[in-house]
Amino acid sequence: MFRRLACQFLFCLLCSPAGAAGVVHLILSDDGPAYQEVASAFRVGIGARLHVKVWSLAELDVAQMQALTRAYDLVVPVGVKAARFVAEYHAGRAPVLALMIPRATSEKLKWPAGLARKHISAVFIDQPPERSLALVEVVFPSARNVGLVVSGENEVVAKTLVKAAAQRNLRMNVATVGGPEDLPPALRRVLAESDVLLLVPDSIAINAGNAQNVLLTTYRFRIPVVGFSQGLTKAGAVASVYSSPAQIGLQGGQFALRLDADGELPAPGYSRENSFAFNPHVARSLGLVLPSEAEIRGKLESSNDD
Amino acid sequence: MVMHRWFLCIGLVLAFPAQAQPELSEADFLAEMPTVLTASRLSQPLMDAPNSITVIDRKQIEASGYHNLADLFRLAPGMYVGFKKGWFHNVTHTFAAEYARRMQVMVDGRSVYLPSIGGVRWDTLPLAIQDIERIEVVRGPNAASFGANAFTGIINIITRHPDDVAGRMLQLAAGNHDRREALFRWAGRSASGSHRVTLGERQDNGFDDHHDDENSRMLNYRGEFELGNQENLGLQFGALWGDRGEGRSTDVSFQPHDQEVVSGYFQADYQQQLPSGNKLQAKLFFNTLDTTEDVPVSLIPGAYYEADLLAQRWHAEFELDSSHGDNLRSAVGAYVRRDSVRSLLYFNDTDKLHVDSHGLFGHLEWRMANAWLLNTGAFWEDYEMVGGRFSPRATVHWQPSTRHSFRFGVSKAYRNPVLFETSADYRVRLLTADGLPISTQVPGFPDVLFPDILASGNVAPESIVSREIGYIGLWPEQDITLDVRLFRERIANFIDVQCSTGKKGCKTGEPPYRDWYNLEDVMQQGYEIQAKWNPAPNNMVMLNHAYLEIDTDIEYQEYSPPKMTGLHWLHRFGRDIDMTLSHYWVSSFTAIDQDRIPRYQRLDARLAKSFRIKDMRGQIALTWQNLTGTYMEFHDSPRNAFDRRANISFQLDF
Repeated sequence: MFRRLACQFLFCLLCSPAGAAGVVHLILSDDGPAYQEVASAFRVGIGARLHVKVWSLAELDVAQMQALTRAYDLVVPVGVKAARFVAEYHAGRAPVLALMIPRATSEKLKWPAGLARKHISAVFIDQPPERSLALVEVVFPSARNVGLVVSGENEVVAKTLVKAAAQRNLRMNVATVGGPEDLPPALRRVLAESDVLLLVPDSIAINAGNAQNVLLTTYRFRIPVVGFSQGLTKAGAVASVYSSPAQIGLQGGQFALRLDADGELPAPGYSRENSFAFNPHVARSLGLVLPSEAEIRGKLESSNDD
Repeated sequence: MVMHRWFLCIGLVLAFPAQAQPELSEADFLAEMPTVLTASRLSQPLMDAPNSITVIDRKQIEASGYHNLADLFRLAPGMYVGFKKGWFHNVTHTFAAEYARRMQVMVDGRSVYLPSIGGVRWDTLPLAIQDIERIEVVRGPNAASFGANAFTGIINIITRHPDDVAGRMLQLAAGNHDRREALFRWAGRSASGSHRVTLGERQDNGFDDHHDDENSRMLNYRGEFELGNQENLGLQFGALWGDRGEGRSTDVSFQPHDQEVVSGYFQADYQQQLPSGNKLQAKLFFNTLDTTEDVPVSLIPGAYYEADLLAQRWHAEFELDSSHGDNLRSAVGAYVRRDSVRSLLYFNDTDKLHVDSHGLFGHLEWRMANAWLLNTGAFWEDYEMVGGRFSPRATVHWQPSTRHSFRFGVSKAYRNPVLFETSADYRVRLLTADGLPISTQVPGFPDVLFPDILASGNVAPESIVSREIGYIGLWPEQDITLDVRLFRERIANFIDVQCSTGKKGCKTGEPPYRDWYNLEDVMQQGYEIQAKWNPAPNNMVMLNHAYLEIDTDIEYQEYSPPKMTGLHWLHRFGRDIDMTLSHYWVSSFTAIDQDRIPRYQRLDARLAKSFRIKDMRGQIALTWQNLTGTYMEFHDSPRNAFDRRANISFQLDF
């Protein structure tokens, strides 16, 4: 009995990722360009120190996944599907770094009880609420009332935003919706009392199915929108702050290096790097004058420094 | 393929609305969203527009507390609003006259200009102020975009989308002069689209000592339907009916009586967002206004004459808005129209008179360089009564920064004469109390009197050449907007009615009959200023000022107030009490064919308290008009004394 335990201990030490030039298994939810972009940037971030093996989720079955996670090699699921698959069939040993998943979804993932917290991390695709608010402030300096429509899943985000807004001398008009049927009246109520509408990712308040109606409603109210993706900006939001797949991948690579060096992953967090997208056509049509992009970046960077 | 998936996705959401929403994933961040606001779909921002435009938005409309549609135009600089009667309202941008023939007025792009006598009968529009989203007032000629009659300006009233007013709304109001109004609106969604229905009733006794009371009932419907494949269909219809007090006891040939009014419209709007990002639009509408009145005369007891008048307009048009790269946008289109009128009194004909017109238009917006923008366009129009006319326009914008825009423009516009100016044969047929020719009661008395106005049809369209300089300045940090327009305009072929002797007051009913003539040229120049400032949240100050100088030999040398100023302050106390103060100063002038009114000032105020009861939202509002004391509206004889008036309204959204 003792011999068996001692052997296991020795085996663990040998297999410990710290200091080991092991393999990193990158598991992509999909083969699409965004996932490939994450993979490429991840390789750049990690350098030549670790070997990266890229898997497509479609080519992995349950047994393979269990085999992968039985070892101590870092497993990096990219996207929600891969992350969920890894979580479901995790055999209990491999550290996990989920990339490009929303914070809310990340918090819902269930990991094996034995997996140490220092071996679970993520780089979120969404933005810290303060960052979105800073963009609102810089792009719409005369805005005082910021509208927000969210469902229960964003309760914490809404509270954070209300606090952060107060510090910036802004007032959040928050409406919480229970279901899709509550959205139109809530949106109208909020728009009527807001200078700008802030969109945060929310499966009920804004999704691919209702984006068209939400944006058209805001346009009819002549209220500009600050979104969270390039797609939303192209579709009609005046401005968005977002992290590109490359920025997330690069930070993922840096996290992997930390694990390699320190034996533990940094805590899950937002991507440090971010990008902005603007829709000058919509801005002009709403009679808005956007500061120049350089001006916006300059102000945001100085507010970050503060 | 991507688009196909989107429609499938939207379809699934619509088909199974009760299903749980999928959990958030990276797809929500990475996905291409269906583009809804492409450049070509949007109207131009104020800075890039070839005209000075005042936008009266929902907030200002509500804050004004005005319950007569025409009153809202007091909020735009250079617009004169006068009440000729309690229910007959005049809205003009220069050339104040009983019939505002020199402005185009549209509701959701539907022209409500009357082809019979010209102008707009504001009191007959089946439209509730509560259903208006915003009003765009284009100050200055814009025939290059909207054809003849967009001569000195355009008003476009945009109504509220059903989705934006979903639910039920009830409004009750009462005020001086026995004013009562009730309005009910329902809006909601069905599987096929969104719908809005409004029902209303109003009454008002008009001016003191005048027989100009009004009562109306109205209904309207607007439906918006998504047809898939980026296609939308909008359907609207509405009707208004009621009575208007007419006539004066001092006028022997126009004794007090009632005018029966029935108006209606139908409108269909089709829009398709093309895969290229361009937009195709088509519009079809029909307007009708039927007024019926038996006018008593006091010379012969019981005698009267019929003054019925029917005016109708059919109109179809299409438009293609395109983007050609980032710097070039265009709009091209065409229309066909038929105007019909019928009136035995006005045209001496029991049949309908028809006049057809058609036109082609094009507009190009070219951003030549970062700071330079060119707007150029033209409208060619063939109006049956006068032939083809070409209205061009070009404006150059210099925008040294995103906050300042200077506009230099020149445009030419025409005003086609209305049917009353080309085809009038105004003959009174006196009837006995039993409806028989008057000669049966008074032997020898002519059944048909000499024409009062007999149009030769030789009148040419009026033309205007306008040169203007515009400036828009924005100071977003202070929330200040400044809009200045300087203009100089030459109007040729000014049309007015007079005797062949060249005098205005020839003896009615005797040759030479009155006819319409093209008179001398008119020069007018002036400026308009609009400044808006939001010094603090829930606080807005707006200043409008207009100055007009007229140089002409025509009889009415001051046909619009030389100076008009409006100062407005909107303020919210706490979260639910709104206050508005509006002060107007209008200088003395003489509207065309009216007598001079002295200068006046007027102070309006509104106080509103909003409240909530569970899911219901309510508001009680008190409005005072003219707190400064009685003044004359539009003309002095008969005296249109506008006294101090108060109004209380209660609104519930549930």
